[in-house]
Order: sequence, then structure tokens, then C-alpha cells
Amino acid sequence: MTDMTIASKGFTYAAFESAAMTRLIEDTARAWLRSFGVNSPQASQRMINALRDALAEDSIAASDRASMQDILDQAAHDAIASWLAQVTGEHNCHGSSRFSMLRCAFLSANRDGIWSEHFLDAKRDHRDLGMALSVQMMLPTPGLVACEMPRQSLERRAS
Amino acid sequence: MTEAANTPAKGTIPAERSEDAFCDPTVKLRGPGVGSRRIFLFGASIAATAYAAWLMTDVLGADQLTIMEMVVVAFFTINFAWISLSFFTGIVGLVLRGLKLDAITLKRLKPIARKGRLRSKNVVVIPVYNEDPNRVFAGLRASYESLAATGELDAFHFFVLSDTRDPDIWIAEEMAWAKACSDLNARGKIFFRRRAENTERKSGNLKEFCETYAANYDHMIVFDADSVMSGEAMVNMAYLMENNPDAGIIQSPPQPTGRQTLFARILQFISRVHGPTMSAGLSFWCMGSSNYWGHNAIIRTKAFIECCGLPVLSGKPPMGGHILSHDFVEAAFMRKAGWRCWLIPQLEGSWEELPPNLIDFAIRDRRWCQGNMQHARLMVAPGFKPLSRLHFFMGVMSFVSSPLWLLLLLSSTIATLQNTQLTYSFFPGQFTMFPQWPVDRSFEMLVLLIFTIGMLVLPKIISILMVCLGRDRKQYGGVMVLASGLLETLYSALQAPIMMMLHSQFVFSVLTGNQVGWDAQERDDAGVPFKAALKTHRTIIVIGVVWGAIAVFVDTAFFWWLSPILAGLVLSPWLTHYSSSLAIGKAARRMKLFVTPEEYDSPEELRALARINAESGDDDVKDGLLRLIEDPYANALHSALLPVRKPDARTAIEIGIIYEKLARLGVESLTRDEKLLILSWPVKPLDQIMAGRDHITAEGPKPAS
Repeated sequence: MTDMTIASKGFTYAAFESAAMTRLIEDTARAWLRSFGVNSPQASQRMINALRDALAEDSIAASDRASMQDILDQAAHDAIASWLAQVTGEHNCHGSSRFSMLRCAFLSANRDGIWSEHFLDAKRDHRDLGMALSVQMMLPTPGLVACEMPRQSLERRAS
Repeated sequence: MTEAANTPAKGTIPAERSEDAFCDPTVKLRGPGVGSRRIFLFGASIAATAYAAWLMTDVLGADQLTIMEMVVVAFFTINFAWISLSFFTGIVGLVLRGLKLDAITLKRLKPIARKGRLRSKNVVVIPVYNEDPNRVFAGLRASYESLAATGELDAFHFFVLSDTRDPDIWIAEEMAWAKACSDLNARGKIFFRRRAENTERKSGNLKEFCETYAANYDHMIVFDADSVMSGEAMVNMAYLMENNPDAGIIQSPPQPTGRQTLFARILQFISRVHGPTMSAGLSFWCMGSSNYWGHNAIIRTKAFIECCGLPVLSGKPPMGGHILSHDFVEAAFMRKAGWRCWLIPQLEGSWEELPPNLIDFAIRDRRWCQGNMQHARLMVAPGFKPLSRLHFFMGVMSFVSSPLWLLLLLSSTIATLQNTQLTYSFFPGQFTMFPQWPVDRSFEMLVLLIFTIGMLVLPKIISILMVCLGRDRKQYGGVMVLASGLLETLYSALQAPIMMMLHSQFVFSVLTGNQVGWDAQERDDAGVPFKAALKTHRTIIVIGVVWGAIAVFVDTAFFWWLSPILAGLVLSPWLTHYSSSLAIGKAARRMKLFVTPEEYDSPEELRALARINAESGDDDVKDGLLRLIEDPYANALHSALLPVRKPDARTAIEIGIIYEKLARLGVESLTRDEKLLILSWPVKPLDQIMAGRDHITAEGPKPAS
């Protein structure tokens, strides 16, 4: 969705967006794109649109947020996490650790920039990207098998 | 008595351990005559000590023993018993090596022939603390590649257990882990975790691993930060574990390698020449009660979790508190629970690195001294097996023997001083017609001296001769092995008094309540400048000079008697400085001196280690925080490896203040603790820092750069 399409809806958020807010949205989008190693005008526009959508739809509960920056960051995070969920077919992409792992995988897969155009594009077929991400996924630890290692006593014999 | 006969009573071992129907009998760890072996070894040691003590009493007591001479005899006897045990261990080892016999089965030595693939799941764990990540991961990668070549890679995982507190090394470790996973295509095979709190040092690090991930595995092979093992060695260890269900620990004898300073090369040489002799001798009489040396060993995970949780000793450190030298204690607890601990001398392909110079060697010894001195308290704790107590005792004696030796020499000096003050009495006691002539005991003294020195150096000399006469002498520098052996003997004779003084100082320091910190070992070929050596050894030099002056005053003959010791003390800074020289070490290599098989024809694993080290030579540890701010990948990786949690209000404020400082004064203005604090949470990108934004959320990370 572009500025024009938002504006075409008539009484919209974009129509009242101040220059400062525009700069804030663009800066936020740029920061998030850089954090994913994406350098694409289309992807940038998609991110900006996602942020404007979030503000327009008031989907973020602003009352418990400290600043507009937080609202925008949360919106960007949610937009990317939703897109990653679509790409990978996983539902748990919003969690901090999983999100970061997917970010790592995307950065590794996108070293030569081949997936930049795909970023945040919901309409594309993402099967190849999904496979590329699964190949690049890091696994820091195996499954947790918690158990207790009891302290031995120097007072008794082993049973 | 057979080893089987020495097995703890049934009922003390879990049922699954006695089910060995599917075990390969050719690798069964059992052998004949365990009791006889120990009776022989201890009997011979006691007999030799008794003879030496009698000889000493005879020499000193020719004209009646003074009290000081009795003290000398007492110290001499204790020291000699220590030497004697080592001597007979060496002699047995020489016989076994000469006849090419397996130290455990006493049958002809043959390589392990595995039948079928491994059935167990194994993990190689590498606990690290502020170590050079390039070196740690180079060792891991060399071992991994070697393991892959065996075709048994699926039976193994690798796990780096970081306790690192240096922020820059922490980030470098994460990056090195990711690179290793990527380069080796080993995602899901090489793991990494960093402990937020590093309580109880290395043993706490392993304990935390045992309580979280270890139960995924049947066995764990413990590496040190500088360990490298061949795939064959690791697979063989796992195979031995599978086929010896009562084995709790199997220790391989690690060969020191990789350093090039003269000091390290001398030690590497003698460890390679004489180490197998001592390992074979130890294995011969320890059998299933061998010790654990803390690394390059395989451990049965379930047994370790069940019975090796270390107790906390009552009282304050250094003698109380958490156990520092955990390896001996873990082996003792394994034995206490009925599991066997084996040392397998023929397990080759196991390497470690030595400190590059005498000062770093002494620093390591200071740490070990504190740990081993704690074991004095465990020697008398209930429930441990007698041989476990002996291992504790040997550990204590490896340091306490130094002050005992020093006391022996000092008491000898005092005794000689007293004797020179006495006037000989030809008619002592009651009236007699015949004078009591002075007795000349110089021949007996010579016998005693040769006897003692022989006990000290004979096994080593025979080991050197065996190598010289063996088929593979070329790997040790050909006939130059004799010159290497001679120079090593001379060097160790000069170094011994220095270590005696240092160890005595360490023991005194521990007994007076001083503690050591926890630092990573120096793992480069670092030299010691002469001034630094002089500063370190100044007390030793003064003692040497004063002692020498007293000896000259007492008796010139006595001075010459002491001269080898005095020479070591007075020459200590020169010895330390020149032996730390990389140039002299390399020159010695060119002259075929102190050559080891690893240098002559380097195994594939060590070549891989050198290659990987060289490749990562430029990958210096950078400023970790700056890296996270600038590099999106490093930032994402770091965020992904952090535990999911939310800072409390106070922490959030502290982090905000640090970011403010970072924005205003730059990365250099932050202290190590400040860096550690902000690295403990997802790190903000540069533009946010400069904008002075200071919010951190646990739900969603901030974007990075």
C-alpha cells in the first residue's frame, strides 16, 4: 500500500502526518531494514506502509508505550515477524530469541542481496526463501533435559 | 587376584552395568594380578626406602646421631619414599614398553579393532574462560574434521561451555561459533552457551551443563581450551566405554605439543620420551582405580551426574569452600560409587599445550597447588577407596615435597654447621683403654648419592636410550636424542631448585590463607624479558647467595655438595629468560634438539590446527560492543543467544545511564562491567544510541545498525 492509496481512502492518518512523523517513520524503517541487511526501495516502501498502516489502524495500544518510537518499533517488529511466519510456516516468530535467530538466518542467506526484494512482500512465493532460511538457521543448544546433579557428602558412604 | 575379583560387591552397581552380553571381549578392560602388582610396587618402594633410610642413618650416625641429623634422616626418608614410588612406576613402565605389553591385560599390545559402528551418543565439551576464541575453535575444528574422517560423526556433538567474563572475548566466541557451524556445515552439531553466573569455576560450568543438556548424551569427552584429539582416539574411547559398562572414566594420556619456546620444547620432548613410560607404569598398578586429569578423558554422563556433584568444604578458602581441583575428586567419587577409572596409555592422538615459559608454568602450578592442598582434607574423608586417597596424597606431595626437600637441605646445612663446631671426642662415655676413632663414611655417602640420583634419573635415562635404540628414533632427532636427553637432564637439574623454592612459597602461601584468582593460561609463545625474570626471582637469588656464603663458611666441601642447587637458584633469571626464548627454541629445532614425533611428522589434526590458526591469524578479538553496534549479523546472533528475560526497573535505569554515557563519550569510556551489563541485553543500534533512546524490551528486540 502506498501513500497515495492511503490518501485515496479519504480521511486517513497519512493526510495528517507531520514532517517530523514522516522522518521518524522513515528513520525507523531504515533502521529495521539495515538490521536485516536489506537495501531495496520496494522493501523500504513496504516497511513504511506497514508502519503507517499500524498507526492508522491504531493497532498498537499506545497507552502502555513510552513513546511514538516504541509504537513504530513494535509495529515494525510485528510486521516482520508476521512475514517471517508466512515465509517459514512457523507461528512462533514473534518471540525475541526466535525472531533474532530468523534475523541471523536471513542475514546469512541474503549476503549477496538476492532476497532483499522479497522482504515483507506477502504476495510472493517464499518456498525457496523458506528453504534458504532453514539451511541457515543456527541452533545454539540441543533440547533441554533438566536434571539435578546432587552434591555429594563427605560424611557418608555411597549407597 | 584379578581385576574382576576386585569388583565391588554386586548390588552396589546398577543392574545395567553388569549386562555386558553384547560387549566386545577383545577390548574388555581387565587384567590379572591387581593385588600382586600393588604388593610388588609398594613392597619394592618400601624396601628401597628402608634401605636408603638405613644407609643415611649409617652415614650420619657413624659418630652418633644428633637431633638435627635425626631430622635430616626423617625428611630424607619421606622424600625418598616419594622418589622411590615414582622410580618403580617408571621401571615397570619401561619393562612394559620394552616387551610391548598392554599395561592392563599384560598381553601383547595391539591396536583397538572396533566391531561395528558406535551405538552411543557422545558429546565433546569444551569449558572455556576468557580463552582466545580463535585457538579454542581451531582445536574444535581440527578435532571435528578428524572425527568426520572416521565416519562416526553422527555419534558426536560438540559443545562450547563459555564462562567468559571479558565482553570482547564473549562476542568473539559467539562469532567464532557461528563461523565454525557455517564453515563445517555443522548446524545442530556444534553448540554454544554462555553461563550468566560463573559460580564454582570450571566444575560449576560442567555442573550447569550436566543439569541442562548432558542427559542427551551417554558419554562426554572433556576438552581443555587447548585440547586437540584425533577422531580415532575419540571413537576408540567411546567404543571402550560402550564395551566396558562398569567404566566411569577413561583417561587418555595427553601429549604436550605446539609450543616452540625452548622451555616448552624441552618439556614436550621429555613428556614424549618418558611420559609413556610413566603412564604405562601408573596404569599397571592403578588399573581400574586410575585418576582423572580433568581433560582429554571420556566420562559416563549418567554416572557423573549421579555421583560427582562436588561438596563444598567447610571453612574459608583456600583450604575450604568450593573444590578447585575437581578432577581428582570426581574420580574419587566415581570410585566410591563403584565405577572404574582407567588410564589407557596406548590411546594416541590426544594433545594439549604447555605454558610457554617458566613463569607461566609457575602461575599454573600456583593455581594447582591451591587445589591440590585442599585435597589434604579429602584424604581422610570417609568412604573413599584407598587408591583414591593415595591419588590425593600424591597430588598433595607433588607440591609439599618441595618444602620437605628444602627443609632437608636446610637441616643438612644446620647439621653440618653443628658438626663443624664440635670437637671430636676420642674417649666418649665411660673410661676405656681404647680410643674411638672417627669413622670414614665417604664411600657409603657416595653409594647413597648414586642410589638417590639413580632413582631420580635412571628411568628417564633408560627411556631416552630406548628411544635412541628404537626404530623411530628419527622422529626424535636421530642420535641427537642423546644430546637432547643430556641437555634436558642438565636443564631439569637447574630448574628443580627454582621450582623447589617456588612450590615452597606456594605451599606457605596457601597454608597462610592466601588465595589465587582465576585467569586464563598463556597460550602463545610468550617470552620473559630479563628484567621481569630478575624481578620474579630476586628473592630466590638472594637466598641462593646467602645460602652459598653460609655453606662456604661452614665447610667448603659442603658448598660444593650444595653447588648444583645454589647454581639453579643464582642462575634462575638467566634460566627463565633464555629458556623462554622463541628464537633459541627454533634454533634447537634446526639442530634436531628436543624433536618430537609431532614436530617431525605432524599428524593431520595438528596440521589442521596450524592451518586453521594461520587462517584466523588476522581475526583478532575486537571491541565486542562496537561490533554489535556496527554489524547487524553479530547483533542478531548475540540477541539470539541471550536468554529470554526482562530487566527489572533498576537494571533498566542502569542500562539507560550506560547508553547515555556511550552516546556522549564513546565506547572507550565504558568499563568492562558496564559493557558486560549492556551486552547482557539486546544491544541497540548506533542511530538509536546517538538519538539517546534508552528503551529495551524483552518482547521485541530493537533493530540493529
